[in-house]
Amino acid sequence: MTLAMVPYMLALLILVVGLYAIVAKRNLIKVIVGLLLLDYAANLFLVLVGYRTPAEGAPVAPILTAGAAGAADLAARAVDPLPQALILTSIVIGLSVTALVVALAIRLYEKYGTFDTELMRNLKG
Amino acid sequence: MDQVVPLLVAIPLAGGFLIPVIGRLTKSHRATAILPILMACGVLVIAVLLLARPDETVVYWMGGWTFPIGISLVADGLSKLVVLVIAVISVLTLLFSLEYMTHYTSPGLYYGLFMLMLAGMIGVVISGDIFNIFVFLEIAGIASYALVAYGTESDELEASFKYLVLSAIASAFILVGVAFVYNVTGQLNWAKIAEVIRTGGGLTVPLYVAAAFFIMGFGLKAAVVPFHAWLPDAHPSAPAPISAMLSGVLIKACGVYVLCRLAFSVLGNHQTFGTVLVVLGTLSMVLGALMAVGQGDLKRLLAYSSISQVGYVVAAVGAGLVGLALAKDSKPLAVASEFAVFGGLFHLMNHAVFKSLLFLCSGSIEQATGTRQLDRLSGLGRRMPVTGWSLRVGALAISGVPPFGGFWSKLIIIVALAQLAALAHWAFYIPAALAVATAVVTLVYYAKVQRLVLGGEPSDAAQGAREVPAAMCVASVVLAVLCLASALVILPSVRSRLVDPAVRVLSAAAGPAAEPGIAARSAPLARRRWPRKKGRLHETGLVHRVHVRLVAALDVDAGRGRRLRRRGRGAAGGDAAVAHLSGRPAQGARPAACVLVSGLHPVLPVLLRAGEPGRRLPRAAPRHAHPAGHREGPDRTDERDGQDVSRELHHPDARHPDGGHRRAGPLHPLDQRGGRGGRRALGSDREAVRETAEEGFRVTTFLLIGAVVLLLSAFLCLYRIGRGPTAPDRTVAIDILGTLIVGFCCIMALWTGQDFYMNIAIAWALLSFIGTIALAKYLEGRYYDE
Repeated sequence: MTLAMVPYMLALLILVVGLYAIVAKRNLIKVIVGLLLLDYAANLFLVLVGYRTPAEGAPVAPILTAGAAGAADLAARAVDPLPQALILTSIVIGLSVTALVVALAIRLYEKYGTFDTELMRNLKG
Repeated sequence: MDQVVPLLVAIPLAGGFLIPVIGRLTKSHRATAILPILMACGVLVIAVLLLARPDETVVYWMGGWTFPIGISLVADGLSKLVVLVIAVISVLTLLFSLEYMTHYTSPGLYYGLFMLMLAGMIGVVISGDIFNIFVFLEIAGIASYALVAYGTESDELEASFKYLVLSAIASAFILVGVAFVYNVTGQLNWAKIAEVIRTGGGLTVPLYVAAAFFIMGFGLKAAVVPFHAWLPDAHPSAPAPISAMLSGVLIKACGVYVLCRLAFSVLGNHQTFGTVLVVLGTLSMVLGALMAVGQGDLKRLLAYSSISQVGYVVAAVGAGLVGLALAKDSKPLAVASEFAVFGGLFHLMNHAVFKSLLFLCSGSIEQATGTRQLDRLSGLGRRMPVTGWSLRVGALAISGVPPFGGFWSKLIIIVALAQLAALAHWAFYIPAALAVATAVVTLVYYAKVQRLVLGGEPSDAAQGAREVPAAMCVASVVLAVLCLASALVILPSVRSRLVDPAVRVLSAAAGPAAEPGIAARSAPLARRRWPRKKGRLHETGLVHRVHVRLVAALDVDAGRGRRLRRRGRGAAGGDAAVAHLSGRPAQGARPAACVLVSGLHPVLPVLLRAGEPGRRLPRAAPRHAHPAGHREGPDRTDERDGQDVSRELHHPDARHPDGGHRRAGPLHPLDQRGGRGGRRALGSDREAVRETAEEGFRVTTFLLIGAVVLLLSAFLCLYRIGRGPTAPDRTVAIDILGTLIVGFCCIMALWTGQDFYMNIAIAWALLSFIGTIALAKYLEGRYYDE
């Protein structure tokens, strides 16, 4: 385990925290927060995978601006753009899933008057 | 032709956004339903068109951009098969929805979500890109969460919440897996990933981690056993057509299909994943069935049964993967592995058909009676004849009763597992035996469903039941016919068009080419595996050999050490067996039970070997491996083939370093000549003789103890039969006595080394089983009459 591994491990740690929240918490909202953490952890991990250090200088964002030296230079110095494109998609998906799960939680609150999963029939355990 | 591939996704996706608008414009439910049905039919037509050239892999690059930039849609044999299954089931469930969903509001949203789910599922199946699989998975997922909650009662909402949370965990795992794979290989296109893994030194630790994430993620989606908690809540809560879609196709397209694709095509030929799949599959198979037995809610029972049946598919496919990984250059093992994969895919098709049918029937019943509790339903067989008969057909098909497709797929899975056990590793007997046991349990709980729901006098709930409207009946009847028609897949002409290309896609990808060195050697082998008669040899070879053993075993007067499997006879028997599997009469055909027994037959060698000290050869003389040309020779005898199989495969790795010689493993007990010869060669090796003699003594002692215990138990049973105050007591005692006799036959077989005792045992076991059930049924009927 080198120092370079630390960010990856931290990202996976967030994943585990999210899992813990989902498994251990009784409150629907906390479960949803756990879900968000899980989602963010996966996205963060994906972005970290795309990070790379160029031969010289600091890495730059993969955006070709007017003042830049050119595509080849950018390609040599930029981080991998593909994971960033992927997490854009993933974030949109995460947004819609979150919207749906919050809507479900609101509906459940209307039915039961509580967010406590212990008081719901199917969600125990 | 490749231009039509994107339409498979585009049509339902367009429907997903168009239909809610139409739903706004028109108030009529049926008017809204027309467009989705037409669209699903369109998808079905395209799926059938694609099957016109089943072996062709159609690749479509989105927007004309090719490899490094573009996103591809790939329709190969496997994708085409799964797309066809999805299309057929969705057309029929939409037809069913036409009437069934009139009880719900907002048809526009329902059909819109249905179409989105369809688009997602088809997208998963034809996507050539591992990240797109994730995206389509989420599209299908989001649509299905909403559909599960469609009734918006508290049950539905809770089930949907649970399903959503667990499914979102799965998605996160899958995304992390994608990140690992991308990091290691720098690719997202799965064909390219496979290439990189293959050429770049195989699997490294990060790829194993990725595989673990994928197995957890897609295992959750497929609801294999440790990850199944959501399914028994989610599937029953949805409206019946959605349950049919979820159980029938969604868990397969989003779970099993991707697992297969990843394990075979992407991660390549690796037995670790195969073993994991076999273990998970076997667990789901057994536990799903056991949990289904106690259910009182019809749809919940069906949901647990889905877990069990998907377990069959996963176990069979995993076994095929293990077999292919071990196969290297052993042709019989490769054939047996492909047989297992074929069984798995065939069962996947069958399960889609009969589980959708059963869920649709449960929907009809719920609509007619207002309940789905088994104890409140009875006597529906007379009230709702069409639904009743469809339910009956579905139940018989899923329990594996002969004429239906379900029987053949289960039989093939069991035979293939037993073959793999005989050829690759004894441990395959465990899933094989559990598959048989699960089939019996399945029969039991579906017999319960049929008896409770259809039999007897109509209950209060069933009093007012009327047959459901025509559209729902048509959907059920078509599926019931498909249950029967799917048995045709075992015909070579149908199979070679439908399932064989899919099997070939998987087996070619997982073929022994994971290491570059072997790749070169495997090329001619791959050609050899599918010789002139395409697809035909596949089964012919396997069943042929199985049957040859059967002929040997049934020949009671064979005498030990006589070479009885002469070529002519064996060939005739093999043809008869093939004729049975293909449903065509043949000269001198043997009854189907023979095929079944021959499937169980590989158990015998192991048992026999344990009991016969003389056969246990710790070390045999080195023996030249057959040159390839000899093995290919057309006039090779079957006897030779059998010997090769047993020698190579009991110890696939037992080869000398120089590769020219191989050491024979423990010899096949049916190889009487070989056994004798080997023993003679060993005559001077006193050490070995003493060892075997000691072991023989131990075995004899154990046999003696076993026999005494059995006799004692038999006497107790006889006492109970005479004494037993009630008829059920006596029935149970008779049943136990039957079992004891089976055990006694086994002991006799071990003692004498005559394998015909084993055949008596198997025949007796079948008779005793059927007899006990018949007796119990008779007694039960008498109680009802009283």
